[in-house]
This record gives sequence, C-alpha cells and structure tokens, in this order.
Amino acid sequence: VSEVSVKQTAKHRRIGSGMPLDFSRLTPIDKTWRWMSSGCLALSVIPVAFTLPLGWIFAVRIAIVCLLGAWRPHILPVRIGVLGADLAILLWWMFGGYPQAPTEVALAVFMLGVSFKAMELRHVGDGYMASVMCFLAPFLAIIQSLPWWAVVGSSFSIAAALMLRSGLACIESGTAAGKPWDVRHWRPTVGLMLMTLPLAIVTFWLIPRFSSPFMGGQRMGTTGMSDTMEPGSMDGMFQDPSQAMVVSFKGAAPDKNQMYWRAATLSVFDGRVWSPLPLGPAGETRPIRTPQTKVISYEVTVSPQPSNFVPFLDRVLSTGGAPVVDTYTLTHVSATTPTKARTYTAVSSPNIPWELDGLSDQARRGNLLLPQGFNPKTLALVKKWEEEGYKDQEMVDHALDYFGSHMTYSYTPPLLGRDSVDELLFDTREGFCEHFSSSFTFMMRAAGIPARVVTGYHAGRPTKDEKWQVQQFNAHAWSEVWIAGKGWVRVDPTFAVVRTLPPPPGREKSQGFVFPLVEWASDKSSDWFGEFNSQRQQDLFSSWKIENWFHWTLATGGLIIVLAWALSAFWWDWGGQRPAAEVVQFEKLRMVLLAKAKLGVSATPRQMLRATERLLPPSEHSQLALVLQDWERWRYANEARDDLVMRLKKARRSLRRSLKPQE
Amino acid sequence: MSPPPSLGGPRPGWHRFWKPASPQTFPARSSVMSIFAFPNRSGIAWLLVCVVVLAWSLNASNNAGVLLGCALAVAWFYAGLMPAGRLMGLSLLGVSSESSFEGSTAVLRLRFKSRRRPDGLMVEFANSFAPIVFSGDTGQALLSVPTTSRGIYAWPVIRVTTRRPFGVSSSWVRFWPSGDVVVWPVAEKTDIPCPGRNGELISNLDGSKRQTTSKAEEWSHLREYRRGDRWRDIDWKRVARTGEYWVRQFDHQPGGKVEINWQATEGLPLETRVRRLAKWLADAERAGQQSLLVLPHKTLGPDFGISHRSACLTALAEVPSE
Repeated sequence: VSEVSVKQTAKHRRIGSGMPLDFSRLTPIDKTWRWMSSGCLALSVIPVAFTLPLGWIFAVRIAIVCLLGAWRPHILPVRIGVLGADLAILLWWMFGGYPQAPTEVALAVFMLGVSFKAMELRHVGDGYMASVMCFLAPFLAIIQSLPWWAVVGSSFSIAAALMLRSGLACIESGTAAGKPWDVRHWRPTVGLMLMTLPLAIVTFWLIPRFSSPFMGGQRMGTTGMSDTMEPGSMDGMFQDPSQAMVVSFKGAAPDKNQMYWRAATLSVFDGRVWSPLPLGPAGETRPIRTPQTKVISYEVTVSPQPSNFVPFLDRVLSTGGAPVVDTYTLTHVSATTPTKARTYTAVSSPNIPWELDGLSDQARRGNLLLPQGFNPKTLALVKKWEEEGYKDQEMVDHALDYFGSHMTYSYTPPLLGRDSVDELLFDTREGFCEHFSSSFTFMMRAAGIPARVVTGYHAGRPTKDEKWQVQQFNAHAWSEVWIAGKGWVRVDPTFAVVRTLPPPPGREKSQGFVFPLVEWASDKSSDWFGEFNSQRQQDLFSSWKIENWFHWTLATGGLIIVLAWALSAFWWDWGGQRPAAEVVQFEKLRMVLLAKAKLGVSATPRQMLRATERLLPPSEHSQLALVLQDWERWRYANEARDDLVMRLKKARRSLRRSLKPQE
Repeated sequence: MSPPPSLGGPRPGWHRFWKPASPQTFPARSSVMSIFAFPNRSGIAWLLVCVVVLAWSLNASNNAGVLLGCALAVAWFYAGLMPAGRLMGLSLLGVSSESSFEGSTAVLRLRFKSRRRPDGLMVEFANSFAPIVFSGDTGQALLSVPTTSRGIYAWPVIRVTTRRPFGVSSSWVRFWPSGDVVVWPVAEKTDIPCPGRNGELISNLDGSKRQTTSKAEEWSHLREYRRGDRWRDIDWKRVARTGEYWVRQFDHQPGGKVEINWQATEGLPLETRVRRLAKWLADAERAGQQSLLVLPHKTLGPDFGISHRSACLTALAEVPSE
C-alpha cells in the first residue's frame, strides 16, 4: 500500500486525445534498461554488418553509437554530428566502389539509421521502438543469405527484445522492473514463444503462397540455370532443393545415370565466362530419326527459371513445339523468361548420332576458338601430349585419365584467378562439374578437337506418383567433343574424377541403419518446411477438396482465426478461472493429512492441528500451526503473505516425510 | 429531475463507443465484451515489420522468412491479447471519496478484486491516473482528480488500463461506480463579520460570554477521538490511563450561538454568497460558537462539531448554481 503514488503534472494534462494516456511517452527509461535497449540494438545489427564489404567499419561505428546511447540520450547537435560522420563514411564507402549491389547500400543505410535510435533513448516508448528493430535481425540474416545457424542465432535477439519489452512495460506501469534477466521477464517471454510456435507453424502452411513473384524480382529460392557459366557460379544451386522440373515418362524411364537434361550449349569462352553463340540457322543439322532409333517420349513440366533455356533430355528429336529450337546447338529457348510452370511433350533419343557427316567450317572455327594469352601452362601440357602422339579419342581418354589421377571433387573449392584452367590443373586441383568441364573443354580445344560446354541437370529422383523430379541441386555441366566418324560425343570429366556425385553440402544422408528416426525426421522436415512451396500447398488443399482460390483463402483465414481464438481462450481461462495458488496448496496439504492421519475431507485447520498433535514432533507441529494460522488469516481476514504458497508447500513436504500412515 | 453534473465529460474520441449504460452496483465485474485492446505505436511498428517480412518472403518464396514472419505476426497477436487477459475477472468492490474543497484535488479511492492479482494496472480518469496496488486478492487505487467548482458530482466513468506484459497494446475496461463526489465551496477571503438579527451577534443577545477555557465538569459524555477534533477537548487523563483517545462532548457550545443566514448576503453574486457563508461558518467554528445555517432549501442547526460543519458545507455545495 505504501507504493501508492498519484501522478499529476501539468505535462500530463496536455496529452488528452481520445486514446488512453500514452504512458510510454511520459515515463523516462532508467539506466539499466537503456543499457539493455542499446545492447539489444547492437546485438541484432552488428553481426549483419560483417556481411558487408569493409563491414568492420560499420560494426565499429554501430558499437560506438550504441555505447554512447547506453551512457545517456544525446542532444540534437551531437546526433547531427554523428549523422554527418555517417554520411562521410557512406559516401567514401560507396564511391570507393566497395558495395557490390544496391541492396548492400540499402542495408548499410538501414543499419546506420536503426542504430541511431540508440542515441535517443529517453522514454520507455523509445525502448519499445528499439526492440521492434531487433525483430528484424533474423530477417537481415535471411536477406544476406547467411547460413541457417546464423539465422537461428540471430533469433535470440527476438527473445532479448521480448525481455526488454517486458522490463519496459514494468517501468511504464509504475512497478519495479528489476534486472533484465529477472524471472518476471523471461517467464512471459518463454511463455509467449512456446504459445506462438504451434500457431506460427500452422500459419506457415496455410498462408497463401504465390507460384511467381508478385512484386517483381527474382526468387532467391529459384537460383536456376543461368545463360552463362563460369567456374564456381553454380555454387548457390547446390544449396537449393527447390524443384527445377518434373518429368513423366511414357514407358520405362531411362537409366538414372544417363539422364542428362540439356539446357544451354556454351561455345564462346573469354578466359573466364562461357556463353552461348547467337542462335544459329534453324533446321539444318537436326539429328535424323530413323525407324531403328530407340526413342523415349515424355512430358516435362518446367518450373519458372531465370533463364530462357528449356531443359530437355539430351538429345531431343522433337518437342511439343512451344520453345524456339536452335538446331545448331540443339538447345531450346522459350520466347520469354517463364514466370509460370510450363508443360511440354518431347521425344528424345540418348544415343542418336549428330553431325556425323562433318562439321561446317563456321562451327569448327567457333568450337576451337581460344582466348589469347590465357593459361600458358595448360597449353604447354597439351602440346607435350600432342608431341607424345595423343590425338582425337586417345587425347580425350588421356585427358580424362589425367583428371582422374590429379583432381578431387569438392563443393567448396578455392576461388580461381585469371588463368583459371592453369590454377585448377596445377594449383588448387579441386572443384566440381563446372571447373572440370570448363578446363576439359579448354584442353580439347587446345588439342585441336572441337569442343563445347553444355549445362543442364543430371539425374533426378523418382517420386511416389511414378514421375521423376529434378531439383536445382541436380544442376550439372559437362562437355561435348566432335570426333570424326562419331559426331558430337558427350564427355563428362566429372565422372572421371568421382564415380558417383557426393551429396551436396547440408544434404548428406545420415546413417540410415543407425539413425532411421533422424533420417525420417530430416526427410519430413524438408518436406514440410525446407521445400514447402505453393505447389505443395496446392496439393495439400486439393487433398482437402479445396480447389477454388476464394474458398482457399476463406478456409485459410477462417482456420487461422479459429485456432488463434481457441488458443487465446485457453490462455485466458487458464490464468483467470483457476483457484488461487494458496487454496490449491492448502487442499494438497489437506489431502496428505487425509491419507496419513485419517482426517475427514472437510477438516478445518484446527481439526488438522489437533489430529497431528500426537503424531508430529513439537517443533514441526508448531511450524504447521504457524502456517495454518497464516492461511486462515489470508483466507478469512484478507491478510496477504507473499511467501504463503511456498510455506504451505514446505509444510506439505515435511508432513509427508514425518507422518507415518495410521493403521 | 436532471441528471447530476459530472466531474468532467468523457474525453472525446471515436473509441468511446462503450461505457456502462448506468452507474454500476458493487461488485461490478468486467465482462469479456467490455474489455478493449488497441495496439500502441510500437505495436503498430511491430505489425509493419511483420508485413514487410511476410511480403518479401512470400514474394521471394523464402521459407525461413515466411516462418519468421508468421511467428512474429502470431507473437504480436498473442502479446496484444495478453493485457486483455489481465483484465479478465477484475471486479470493482467499492469506492469512496473524501469531500474536498473546490480548486483542490478530490481523492477517489477504489477497491478492486482479481484472483490473478495482476500488477501493472492503472486507473485512469480524464488526465489523472494511479496504479492499482494489489495485496492478496484485493487491490486499491487512490485517484486524485482536480476540481474547479463546488457541487455534488456523480462518480465519473473510470477506466482501468494496462500494457503489461509486452507493451504491444493498451487494453482497457470501464467502470461507472454509483455514488457521489462532494466538492465543498472554499471560504471567501474577507473580514466582513456575520451579522446578527439586529446587526449584532446572537451570542450577545443571549447575554452569555464566550468562555476561553472549558471546564471539565461541564461535559456530558465521551466519545472516541476522530480526526479534526480539538486537542483541548481530549480527555488527557484518560489517555494517560488507558492509552486510548477519548474526546469530551458538551451539551452546548460554550461560545454562544450565531445565525448564518442566506438572506444576509442579498444582492451579492451567487458564488460569492456561498463562499461568504462558508467563511462565516469557518469563523463560528474557530470561535467555538454554535451555528445555525439558514438556506432557502434547508436549515441546519444550531449545532457545532465536525459533522455539523460537513453537513453545512455539503448543503452549501448543493445550492443550485443559477
């Protein structure tokens, strides 16, 4: 009662619109919680700062500002001074050419602006705003494509921000806030998070998904095949399990290892990047189908891709007609970059000969061209092999042997410099399909064999409904060489290095024999979380017989609202209607006596004392008497004792220890 | 009969679409339908963060982002409902108010009961607010409201608000206690004495003189001490003996009688008349005289003591203003 204080100042009288008084703008924040606020800001922004080029400068700047802000709120001239310094840093950074993309500039500006809030922590409301900014920390980590552990780690700043809010709300309501790690802050925080989780997951499944971007831009998930290739560029695709295409074969599916999905044929090399020739003359060199040709017909549904190339099973004979076909390189191009999934029917024959009769001069020249002044060591090596007498098929086999004995497969090879082939062959000696196909093609050209790089996908996995699914991490690159009498022959130097491709990083199968449960769980989690997309959602809804978009939205919204209502009603009821903790503890105590002292169900405290007088040692009996006396005072005279619940619990425990059951 | 004037109207605003239909009897319980919640500034900012995260993630089909956005949105929803949960089951047990003089603050005392003993509840009325301090199941709040003019006021609609535990939304419930708040007039600052029947004090007509000391033998009975009693009336011997405070009560006030008549202030403005009567009343009290208050609607006394004074001041507060 002594805490009762009545606040009334002239300042308060001014604030009087319709809403309840906004205490958060009246109550000053105290030192502890100013430290907590600016600490949360620093915690959530500094780790992301390091993802920027020269990020440590921003990290230091943010740390300084947060320390200044934790010390005390700052007047306008100081803030303007810091703003000036920020502008100077930003301009120097931008015009020094450090940022690689406009998003990095935006991120830098955002982070500097956010940490500015640390310098104006005057009222509780400022602390609230700072905490809202902390909620963005995992989002920034996601935008910057940080690994999953960084995203999960940054989620701790959400917990910190919630505890901060709890403390600020205490200050705002005029009660003592205590220390930031006090139980009164972390308990509601943990409660809120536990309560949030189930509904958040349901919402995750039900929230309407879009099969294509509705605000423009590319999907981060659909890295997809690009129009060009340079060693290391597929790096991101190996992390991406999203679907590239689904194929249903008419008849038996071909051997998995022979499934080469051909997208782009790249013949132009500038020393670093492989790119395609402009579209060649149509209809001249198409492989000829004879009655003896074994063909595979199938239907392919291609997901939206950033590239115009449409992947088909190598070598395609005819397609459903939609994409423009470049018969010169046997690639298929759709007229526009597809934003929706498209389905084509096609007929392919893996082993059909192509340009068996000879290569046109133009094609020969185009596929032998090498950039001047690159990779001298490789040129010398190939020259040595030529002098040793290797040519045509022997040269191809010898080069493959060389790869097999000198190279190792790695998803995380070192970056390559200017003479990329030299560095790979003589220096780093590790890489993945792109490195090998690029170097191999270079060597073949150096040896006078027409060669080119082909990119696309390799293999896939069978689905439950007897289709084949090709995912983005199935992306692959290989080579084609032209050998007289054989025409274009596919050569895959990657499989000279490894017999089978290792699983991409993060997708390694656990030991199925030892941990079947772990494997099952990780399978399910990727099914229901990692790879959940609009297609999976549509399947989910159609399994519930909801096809119409409007019904879908209605059902989703309705379900979320009903769930939320049910959960929140449970929460309310739980706290509001249960009997007071003192009553609960007293009843438990009475139950113990009921069992051990043969008392009636409705024994009063006095009866309880009388019954236990003989059974308990005097000291314990007097303790019990004190507790029961306090309980009576609490129950009937409304006298509060803060420790009553705890003492009732203790009394019960000691009774259980010292009372022997009565015969 | 016109409704009693109120201490101040509800603050204007679109949100005031609910209040109790009539003053409530005690105990007044808060029902689910009477609890409101509205996000505050940082709550709206939090919602904006959810919208940004969800829009970007759904556009880019980024599952981690979608899960984060959903979690933030659901947490916002629950954190916004939690203060409303704290107001569930709150009931107003009773109210009381001490009479106060116009221009000073009226202290309104409210007693609440809630099984969950929520801390961080505020009672608000107009621009005044005070925390409810719980001790056990019951809590009380002392709300001081500034007053400007005398009168008998109906209890205002008061609002109990909270932002705990996360400060995302303000939640509130309104109570309208039945009862009155009395605001007495202040005494006029003047030296004009109270005229008697013929321009003289009634005490002089009686012929008795005002005694400066009271004789112990003259008291008729004793009663327990109440705040405001004169120290010289305390029976100190009994205090020394028993440790309890008893006050001597007299059959008649030794200082004589005075008649305070509404008619005597004819011609003055209404508020001045009321304040002058209040001044004469205070003079009589100070001089130890019995007073007779004659008002157009009421006659009180002749009597003396704190209850008589309160009755007189309340009768003066009741005088209809124009």
